Amino acid sequence: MKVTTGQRLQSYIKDPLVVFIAVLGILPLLSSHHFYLQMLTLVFLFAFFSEAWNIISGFGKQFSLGHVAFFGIGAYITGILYADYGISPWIGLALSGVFGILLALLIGFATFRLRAFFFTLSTIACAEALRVLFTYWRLGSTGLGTTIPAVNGLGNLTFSHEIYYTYLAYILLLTVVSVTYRITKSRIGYYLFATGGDEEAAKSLGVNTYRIKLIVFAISGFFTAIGGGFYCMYMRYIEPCMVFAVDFSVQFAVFAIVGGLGTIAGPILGSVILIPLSTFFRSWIGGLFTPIGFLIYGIILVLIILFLPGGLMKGISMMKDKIAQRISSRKE
Amino acid sequence: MMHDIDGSNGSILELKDVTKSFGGIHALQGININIQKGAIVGLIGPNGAGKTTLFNMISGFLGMDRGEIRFNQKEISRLYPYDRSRLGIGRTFQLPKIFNNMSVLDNVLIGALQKSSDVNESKQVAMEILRDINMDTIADSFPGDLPIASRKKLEICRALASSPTLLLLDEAISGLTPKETLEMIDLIEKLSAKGITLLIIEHVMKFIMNISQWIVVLNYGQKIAEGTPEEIARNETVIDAYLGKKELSC
Repeated sequence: MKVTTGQRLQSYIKDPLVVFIAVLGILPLLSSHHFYLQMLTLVFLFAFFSEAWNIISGFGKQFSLGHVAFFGIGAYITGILYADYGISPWIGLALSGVFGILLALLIGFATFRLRAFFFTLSTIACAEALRVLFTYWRLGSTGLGTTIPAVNGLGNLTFSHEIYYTYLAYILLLTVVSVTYRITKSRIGYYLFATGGDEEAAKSLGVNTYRIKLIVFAISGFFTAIGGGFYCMYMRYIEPCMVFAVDFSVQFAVFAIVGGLGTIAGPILGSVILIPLSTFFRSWIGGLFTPIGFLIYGIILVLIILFLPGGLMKGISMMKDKIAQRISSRKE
Repeated sequence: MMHDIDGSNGSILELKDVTKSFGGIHALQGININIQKGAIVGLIGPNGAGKTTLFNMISGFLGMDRGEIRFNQKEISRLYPYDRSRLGIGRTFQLPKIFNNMSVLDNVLIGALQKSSDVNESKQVAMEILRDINMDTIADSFPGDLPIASRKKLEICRALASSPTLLLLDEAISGLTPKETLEMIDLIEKLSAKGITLLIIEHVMKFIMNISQWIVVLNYGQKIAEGTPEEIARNETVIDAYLGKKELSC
C-alpha cells in the first residue's frame, strides 16, 4: 500500500520528536532579547554537535573523545580562508566539510580495525596533536588569535542581528536530525546498531563493520567540521586553545549521554537543559561564587547519570510505561 | 561413500593441512576434513582440542599459519568473515552473541538485510523466519532477559536469515533442559531438511551421536578419527583419548 503525502504528514505531526523540534523552532520568535537569542543559538549549535557525535558514538558505540579535531579544522579552514584570503565562508564551510570527511577517514582507517578503546585514545591524540600543530603554525605568522572581519551580509555569513545566527543554527540542527533519522531507518543504520551491539556477531552476518564505521564516522566528521566553521563565523575570533579545547569534545559527549545515548532526541534534550543551566550558573551566580555554580552544575550532572544511566530519554520512556500501566490497571 | 578426502563435487567444505599455533602451543596441526553437501557433521573433542579455533578459522575470525580452506570449490582462506558469510557460511557462538540493543525481530533483520537493502521487505523475511521457529510472539521484545535456549534459537534464526548453505553451530544444546534439547533437535532436523549443511560442536555425546551422520574427533589440535557415529563409538584411539570407556550409549 502506498503512503500518501497527507498520511505521511499526519504521522509526522503525531511524532513527539517532530513536535519537540517544531516547538524549538518557535522559541526564537518569543523574545528579541539578545541574551535569550544567544543562548538559543548555543542550544541549537551544541545540540547539532552532540547529535553529530551521537551518530558514531551513540548509535555505533565508537566512543570519540576528540571530536573537537573536526570542530577546530572546520573553524580554521573557514576562518583563515575568509580572514586571510577573502574567500566566502560558504565555500569555507563546504571545504570544512570535505576536510572533516578526510580527517575522519584518516583516523578511522588507522584505528577502526583495532578495538574501540584504541579509537577513543587516537581521537584524543589527534585533537591534541592538531592543537599543538596549529599553535606553532599560528605563532609563526600573525599571532595566536585570528579575528574575523565583520562585514554584514549573507554572503559573508555575518549578521547584525542575533536571530539570523539562531535560525541558521536551527537549520543546521534540522539537517543533522533528518540525516540521522534517515540513517537509523536504513540498512546502514541497522548495520551500525549491530556493529555497536556486537562486532563479531555483525561480521558473522555479512556486515563489513570496518566500512560501516568509516562511513558513519565520515558523516559525523563532516557535520562537526561544518559546525566548527559556523562557530568561527559566529564568534568572529578563533585561536588553537579555544577551537581545539578538549572541553568541547567532552561537552558533545555529555549532552548526548545526559539526554540519552543512541537516541535522536537525547542530544537535543541534553543541550536544551544543560546549556541554559550552565549559562545560569555562570552568569547569575557570578563573581567570587562562580566555582560554586560549576560545582552545583557538576552535582546535577552526576545525579542525572547516577539515577538515569540511560539518560533523560530513558527516564521519559520509563515514565510513559508507568502511566500506561496505571491507565490499563484502572480500566481493569 | 558419503565422506571422502578426494575433493569430489559433492563436498561443500574442504580443509587441507590447516595449521595454527598460538606462541608455542599448537592449536591445530595439519587438519584435513571434507564435508559433504547436506550432511550433519559433529565435531567433538575434549576441552582445548581446537574445535572452536577450527570454527573461527572456517568463519574467518582467525587466520591460518598454513593450509587451505575451500568452500564450494572456492579458496576462501584469505577472505574476511563478512565475505565468507555472504558466500553462505553462517555461524553461532559458544556464548550466544546477541544484539541486546535491538529487538528480537531486528536481530534477525540484520541477517536478512544481507540479501536485500530494503528494510521493510527484510523485516517481513525476518518475521517469517521467527514464525517458522515459533518465536514470533516475542518478536518485539528485547533479548536481554531471554533464557539461554531462546538466545541460542535466536542466534540460529539470525544466521538463518542470511540464507547460509553451511551453518556452524558451536555448542547448540549445552545448558539446555531435556525438553529444550528436544526442541533444538527438531530445529536442527528442520534446517537439515532445508538442505543446509551443518557442522556442530557439542559435548553432549548422546545428542551428537544421535543427530550426526559423520563425526570428526579432535584431540590436542590433531584429528584423531572420523567416521560414522557407530565407527567412532568403537574407535580405540577415541575411547582412549576422549571417551574413557569402551561402550558408548547412543
